Amino acid sequence: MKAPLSWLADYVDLPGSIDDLVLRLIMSGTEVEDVVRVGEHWQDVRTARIIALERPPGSNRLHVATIEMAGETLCSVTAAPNVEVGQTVPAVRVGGVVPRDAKGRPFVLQPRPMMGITGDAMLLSADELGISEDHDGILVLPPETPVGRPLLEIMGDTILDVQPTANRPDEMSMVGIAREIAAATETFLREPDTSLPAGTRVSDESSIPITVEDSTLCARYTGLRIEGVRVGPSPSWLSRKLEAAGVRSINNVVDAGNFVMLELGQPVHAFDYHRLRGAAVGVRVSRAGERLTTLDGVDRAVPEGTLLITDGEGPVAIAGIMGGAGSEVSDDTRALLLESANFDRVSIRRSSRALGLRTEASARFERGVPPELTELAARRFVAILASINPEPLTVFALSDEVGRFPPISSITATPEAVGRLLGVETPAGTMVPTLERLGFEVQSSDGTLTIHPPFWRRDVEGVADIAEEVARSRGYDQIPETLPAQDIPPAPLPPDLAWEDAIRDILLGIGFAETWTDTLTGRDALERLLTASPSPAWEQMVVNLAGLHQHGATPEPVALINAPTRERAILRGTLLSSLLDVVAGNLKHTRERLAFFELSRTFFPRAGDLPYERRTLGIALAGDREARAWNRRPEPYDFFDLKGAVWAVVERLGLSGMASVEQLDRPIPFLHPGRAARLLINGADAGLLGDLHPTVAERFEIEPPTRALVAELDLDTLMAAAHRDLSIRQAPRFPSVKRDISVSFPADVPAHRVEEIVRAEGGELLRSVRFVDVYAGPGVGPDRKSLSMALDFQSKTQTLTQEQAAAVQDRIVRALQRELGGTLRGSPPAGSAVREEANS
Amino acid sequence: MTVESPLADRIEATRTQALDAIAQASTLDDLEALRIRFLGRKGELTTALSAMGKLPAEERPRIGALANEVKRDLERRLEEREQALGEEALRRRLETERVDVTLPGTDWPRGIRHPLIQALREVVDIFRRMGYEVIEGPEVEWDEYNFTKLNIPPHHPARDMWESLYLSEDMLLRTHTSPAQARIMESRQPPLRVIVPGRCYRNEAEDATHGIQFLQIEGLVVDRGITLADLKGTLHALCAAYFGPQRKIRFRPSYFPFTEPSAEVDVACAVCGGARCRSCGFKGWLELLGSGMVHPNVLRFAGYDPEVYSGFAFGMGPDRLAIQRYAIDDLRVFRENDLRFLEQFR
Repeated sequence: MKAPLSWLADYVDLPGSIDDLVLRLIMSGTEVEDVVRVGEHWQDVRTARIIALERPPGSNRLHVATIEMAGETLCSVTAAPNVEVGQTVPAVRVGGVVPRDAKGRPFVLQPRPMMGITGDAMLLSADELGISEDHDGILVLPPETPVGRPLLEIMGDTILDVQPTANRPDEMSMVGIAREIAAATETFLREPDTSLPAGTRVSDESSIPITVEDSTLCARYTGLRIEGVRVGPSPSWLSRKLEAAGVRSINNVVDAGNFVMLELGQPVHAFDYHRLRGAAVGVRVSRAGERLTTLDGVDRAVPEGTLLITDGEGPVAIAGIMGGAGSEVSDDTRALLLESANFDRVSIRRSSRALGLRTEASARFERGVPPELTELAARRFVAILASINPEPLTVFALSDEVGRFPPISSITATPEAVGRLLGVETPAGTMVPTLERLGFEVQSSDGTLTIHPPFWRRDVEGVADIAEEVARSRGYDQIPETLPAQDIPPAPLPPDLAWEDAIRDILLGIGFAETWTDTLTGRDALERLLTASPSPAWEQMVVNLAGLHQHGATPEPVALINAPTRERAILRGTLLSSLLDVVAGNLKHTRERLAFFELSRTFFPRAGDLPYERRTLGIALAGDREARAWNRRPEPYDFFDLKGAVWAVVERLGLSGMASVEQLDRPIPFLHPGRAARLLINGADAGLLGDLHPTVAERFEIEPPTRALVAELDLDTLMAAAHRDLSIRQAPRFPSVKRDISVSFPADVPAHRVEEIVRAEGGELLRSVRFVDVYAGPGVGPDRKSLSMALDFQSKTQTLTQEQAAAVQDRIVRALQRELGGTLRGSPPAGSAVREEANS
Repeated sequence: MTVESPLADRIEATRTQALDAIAQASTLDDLEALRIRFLGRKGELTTALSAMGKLPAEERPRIGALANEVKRDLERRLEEREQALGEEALRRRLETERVDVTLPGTDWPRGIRHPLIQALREVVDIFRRMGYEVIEGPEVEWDEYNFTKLNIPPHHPARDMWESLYLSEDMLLRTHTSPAQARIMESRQPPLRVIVPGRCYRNEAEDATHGIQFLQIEGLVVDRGITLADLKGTLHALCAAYFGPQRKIRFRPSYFPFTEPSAEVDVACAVCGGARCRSCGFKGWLELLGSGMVHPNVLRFAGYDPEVYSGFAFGMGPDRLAIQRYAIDDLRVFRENDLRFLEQFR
């Protein structure tokens, strides 16, 4: 709400410093969003009167204006189309400062010839003064404006942009803000005057019959009939006030209504009395199919249940939102019905949304206007209109239909109770005057205060509200700082969060970057992951379907009903498309170490319940593992880098004993069919990993030779099995015997099987087996591959001999031969292959 | 000792010859050859001594002593020379291994923390050290928990404070982490001291200071005798821990439907300290978080007696904390995930 200080000054004496005033308002809870100073750089602008105009020879666009300004006669060359002799306009002499140039900066006016004539002053537009964007012509001031005066004196102002909080509808008015200023600066409020000027005729006749169908929707309807109205322009004091507050001046009747609304916060509406059919008004909810053309000229279908004002025949206004065009005040209006009513805020809010129509009036009703205000507003309206109507008005007796509205209940509070909430003593001696300044009535007896809030403070309902009033008046900086007493034992981090942190730290530790991407996405964005046509099945991109079903969820998108855009319409069911977008974005400037992960939730619908939110880990790799450097050769990330990262997570969760990475059991459309795998925990699916399918990569603008790799893990499944492995073993005491063997196998034998057999046969004495080379080519035969393994034998009870180790090795080789068709290619001669190592 | 005998002369001659040769030797292999030549089983000294048997018995001890002395001498010289040559060889090897130390060091891979998540974790840590329990809630919530149980009934004008994204009539993306307040109070009895970190969503036009998705940390303390002063002290402690004790903050009254009294906390601009400058848009103070004493209605909804219990709650955005710490003026940098920006948080 724009509150010009010039207007506020009608009701309260303002402190000298604007900064101080604004700070006091902010620190007592009135949010001042902005402070606009009208009149910046106006020091050289004065009012002048145009006393003659002529066209310079050869121009039909320019005028040479002779102006009178502070007793001097000056001349100005102007291109303004709206100049007329007799106008009062703002002007600056050569050598003075023009407040704004085209870029909004002040400049010193230099003599400059136009069409050969050099003027000695410049007439200013509203734009050059910085009061509006209007630069179509000079600003014409009202005729009664004194000439030769500094414009700052006449129009200079400071406008506060006040954003009242939702609990303070009273601050949607000048009086409300002035009241806060008065309380904050400990001074008094001057109430608006409702006395009628001499000569106003007062009739005993009732204004109008009023029928309110449901008083819960219209707590009060005050109607006032006024005759003798002459519609015409408003006087400058009124139009200037409205314009300073950001409301356009229309005519005296409309302006008086807007003035009252801005001043008191009570919206009012003036009907042309003679255009109301059947001299009666009613308030009812709309029926299906009703229509009304509103003041803005729009023919509207009125949603059923909208609160309407009717005359004898039908709707004449949408209550609290906008009047109808049929009963609009026009130039020949002679009689008015002024409506000053109170409408239910929920009803107005609903209707305003349903109609897509928000007005100054509806904004106030939505927040809640006190029903006590209607009569005051009606009386103030007629007082204003009477003072500006060219002839005396006739005012009829107020018709006031008062329904039932909840009384304002008084609050019983003790200073101790307030102090207990604030943590500081609040003696009655300071509380009472503080509350009284804010309009509360306080009765004190035996240390208990009975507090009656003023009618405009229906938000104050209990001791907590009283505590806030007291605290904000004192200033929150007067509240001490303490800490709650420590009597709650510290709680451990919930396991899931602790595991998340552990995963995060392990991945950060091996060089990954954590991302923060959008949960909201679009179908198109996700469906880039699907290659199958014609109808891509959503479930094909979802990791671990079984896990979903366990949680009662289905592999479908969770969609918003009020999506802001197509690209933000669903909650994602996979993190991979977001991560690949991050990869693609970064590929524009680097190919090095694109290693990203995100820990977040993926969403799947559940019938009749909140969606299943699955903790999910997404990983994406692309480009080179090493940054290019003088001592490093760039090598692209490969499947095994990805698998290693996944395995680091698996180990961190204590799951290596129950985890395995195996062939896919169903096609995953976004993964390379030959370089993809699933992660199993105790035989159950928990994740997918692999090279991104080249067709899919292209859709993410990841172009060859760059390859991307992705993994997605269902952390709910992983975490359910996760545990900290606390069975820590001592380092071995006896030296180990290390032997390398190379065995060839048919090409399709998986390394995993080889390892299983080696471990089974190696038994207790085999401490570790590690694949150190994989080879296919000359020497191993067609369709065969050779796996070289480093075996590490060790006993827990003795120093192992070469012979003992060799015996186990022989057993291993025989088993590999028997089970997998392995052929020992070579075990380098004992002397050179055996390295001994003392571990103790 | 002087021994006049042809054998003694021969031994002395061998000594002279050997010492010369040792001095001349330039490699360890040369030295080894000299050792064999002079001191080996078939070496010259041994050969010379084999003639000792032919000497008169009274000369034998003298010649023997001489021979031993020469042998020790040669051994000592060999050893000295060997050491010198070894040192020389090492010196030469080290010389060839010289590197240009001004070449850059290896760029070890280091993890890159996301500044928002990092800020969230830091704040969580600060509160955990103050004894707070961490809990989580669902990101998709019932309207009832997101609003109604927080004293924001349907059609309340305060609902305008949160533009919401709905999944159905009664289900929405949580607009704040506050619903977890209602959930925890419903399921537990005081005393409570919890924080709730998580993602939240509002239907806002995305610009430099707003995003549809953001992180929030909710705090809630309910016990007997909790005061506004406790809230102030707690949030001061947070800001001192996060920004350092020099950074000024201020509390001012505000409005939230679920707290009363309510307070907004502003932090002084990192650049001007509140004096108003270009970088804070001449505001001096920047909104950091909202807070207040838990509204009696919210306590009542949870079945707590407001006559017995009181509490405070606060909600803050790690994004605001991070931009205030790093003096960043555009929240969008956090969701771009551009390594050139993120790398600074290694």
